[in-house]
Amino acid sequence: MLSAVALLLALLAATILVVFLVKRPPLTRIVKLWLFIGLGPLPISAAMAGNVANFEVTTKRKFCASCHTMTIHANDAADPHSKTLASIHSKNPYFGDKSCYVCHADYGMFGTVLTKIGGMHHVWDYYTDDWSVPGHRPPKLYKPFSNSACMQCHSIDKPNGPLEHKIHGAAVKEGQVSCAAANCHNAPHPRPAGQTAANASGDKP
Amino acid sequence: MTTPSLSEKNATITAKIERRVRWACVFALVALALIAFSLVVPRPLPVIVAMSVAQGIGTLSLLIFMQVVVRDVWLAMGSRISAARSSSPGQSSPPQ
Repeated sequence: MLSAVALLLALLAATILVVFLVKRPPLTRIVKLWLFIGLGPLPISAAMAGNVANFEVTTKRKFCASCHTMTIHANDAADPHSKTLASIHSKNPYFGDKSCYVCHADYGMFGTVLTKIGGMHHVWDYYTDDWSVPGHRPPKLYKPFSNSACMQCHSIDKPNGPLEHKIHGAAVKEGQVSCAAANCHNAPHPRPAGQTAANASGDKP
Repeated sequence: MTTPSLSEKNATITAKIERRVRWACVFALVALALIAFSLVVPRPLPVIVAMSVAQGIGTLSLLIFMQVVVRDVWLAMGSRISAARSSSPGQSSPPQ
């Protein structure tokens, strides 16, 4: 909807500007007023609406999947029969088609900004690295996955929780043990060939 | 070498202003095209270009236009002041 509004505003502004460039009318008062509309409020509104629409688009799983290195993860997340954490959470309507962003976005006051900066880092690596070189490292997280992403919904302090949470709770909260560690909740995504659990999570091997 | 007349000066200024306005229009069209493309093809590169390069080009367009507007207003004020001075009683012909 917002994309349509942004496109409409851009079209209106472009129409005014193209008519001015083609017809070349003298700069009378009415022409100046039209130019002000075509160079001021309309393009600014189109840019603002477009920015918000693009911010929203970048949170969708389809956007993440537009880089082919993410295809395996996106396809698995969308697979209703898969038992991975990503797929299970993607079936939850609170995640839906934003399941990548909900889990992988940074949090806090500057979380959105940090997430966007990280995303641009991904794009830079994607286009500047030659991923087709044999033996190239598979894609992995830049930093270990934060357990706080899991704990925003799943508390480990429940009194009737599993014994493992009681024993390892402090370590989980400090990030020393990952929720996705082996023998716990396991890998959230299918692992491409040649990728180990350590380098998949960004931890040191 | 003859100095340009007032009307020639005004014509030159008007031509400069019109050229700057046209450039502002061109830059705005380029920015709008990049933004529209990112909305139609929401892939990483178009989105990044729309939210960085296009914003810069659009801002440049607006700054050029605002500079033209300010200059236009300045010239109009100058003309009004000159006209007011030339028509004031103190400017009448000196006593014989």
